[in-house]
Amino acid sequence: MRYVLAVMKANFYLYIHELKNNRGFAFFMLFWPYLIAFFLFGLGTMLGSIEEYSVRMNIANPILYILASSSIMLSSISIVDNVAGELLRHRWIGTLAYIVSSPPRLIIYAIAGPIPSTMFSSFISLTSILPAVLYFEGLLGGLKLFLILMFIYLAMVPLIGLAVVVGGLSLVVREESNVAGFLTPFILLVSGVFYPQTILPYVLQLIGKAFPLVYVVEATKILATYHYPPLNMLYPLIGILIGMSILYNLFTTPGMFLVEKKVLERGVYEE
Amino acid sequence: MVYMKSRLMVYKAILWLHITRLERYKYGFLNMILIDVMWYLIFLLGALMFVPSNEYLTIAVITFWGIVLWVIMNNSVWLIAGWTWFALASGLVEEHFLYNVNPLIFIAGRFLTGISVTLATIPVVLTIFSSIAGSYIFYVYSPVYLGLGMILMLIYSTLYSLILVALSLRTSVPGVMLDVFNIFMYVGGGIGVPVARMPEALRYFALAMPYTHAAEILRYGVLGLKPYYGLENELIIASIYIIVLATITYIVIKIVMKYVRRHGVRAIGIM
Repeated sequence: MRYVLAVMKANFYLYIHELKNNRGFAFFMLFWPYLIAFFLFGLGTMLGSIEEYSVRMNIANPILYILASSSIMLSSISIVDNVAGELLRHRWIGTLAYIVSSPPRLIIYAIAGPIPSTMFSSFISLTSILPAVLYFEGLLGGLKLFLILMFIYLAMVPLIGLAVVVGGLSLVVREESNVAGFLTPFILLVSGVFYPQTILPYVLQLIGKAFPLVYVVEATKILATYHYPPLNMLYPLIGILIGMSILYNLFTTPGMFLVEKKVLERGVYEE
Repeated sequence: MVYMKSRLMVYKAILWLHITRLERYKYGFLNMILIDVMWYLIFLLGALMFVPSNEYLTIAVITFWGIVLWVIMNNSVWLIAGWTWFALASGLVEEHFLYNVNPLIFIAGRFLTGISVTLATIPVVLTIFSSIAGSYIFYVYSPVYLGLGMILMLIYSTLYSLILVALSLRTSVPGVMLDVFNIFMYVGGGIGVPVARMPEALRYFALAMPYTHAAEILRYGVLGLKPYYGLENELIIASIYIIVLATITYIVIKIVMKYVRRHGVRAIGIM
């Protein structure tokens, strides 16, 4: 536990200092959800109409939904990238060898390390749209946003489990770029963030149901449909996410131990 | 120390390097194609939800070809300009200076990677889109103008990438700025939406962008949609843009190289 806290603290410290040293990037963290929403909204309304979107998506408040799903998209990117890309980044900058040979196990770096920074960036993604949500939906909208953030945090646990194994694989295949990079767009594609999941082929719909994000999207749809969302519709989604957290991490932890073993045997660099 | 004497030998070496890298990082290459395809689909399926059923087929075709142009632009920007970060981090830019080879020629060799990813991505997107829009997607009004639109886009985006690379060596452009600009170009730069469908304020901006004219010519080639300024005028404007962009690229490279030889380099993606 001592190591877990130390790694979390160090990782968060690094993240905050990266933001401090790069104010432009920090600014764009606030700006990104709006940019994505603008892109979809701008493109969509030039090609069609927001009313059509509302009907097809079966939601009452499309603006709130587009803004919230843009933030969900960014949070998922940050969760998967922080976990799956972290080890590869260390390899690029030459610190992976030190991490592998230091006392905490690699899995602690891989799983625990990115948690605080990921929670923080998800928090920023969601709260950046708070002014717009308050404008369109009032205080109730703010409360709904808080609920979405809680769902993202719940989904983060199984997502980390998945990302850590795929991130570990990118160390084993020894590529220059992140071969695990397909994970984020794939999860987003099959989860139907901006469109109903039902328009996808049946196989992709089934695969999508195995990813936690689809339940966050489902919760967001419920929150964007009802003025006072019935909480009993959200409970089953919470249950599924908790179940996934336990199941996925139970299966993925041995996978990471295997990657650690491989890296220790073969070394970090190839040349 | 061995100096590279012949220009031909330089080009051959650069070509060899990029082909070897393409083969060496084959998983990364395939991964890039997959990632590209999935990102495009996420946004496009979202945008198509705005479109009324009676216009669905025409819009799907416009959107598909808009995506093709965007793939060309995005791959040029990221795989040529965005790669500067890697070239700098591995000390390859200074190395080329030492051997009296312009590092921009070396970075421009990434054109090969860009075009390979583009050529591999388009059929995959086409296959997926044909399942949405049916065989209508294969209909082409004039293959000559379709090809011309694509070639124009390739020229514009390569020249733009070279300007970016040169500028980044001098000024340090944050990587996120490239993303922001690329996203904006799809909507505001007339790549994804015909100029005639745009709001008036955005139309002037779009018409000032070279990409818009390539896209208008391409849309004429695909659907026979009359370009905003008429076909003949669009051809003249498109040719003028090639001359202007090529001149700007030449001047920027000259100035930046002179500066960089004396003061050192900075790069895109430095956070």
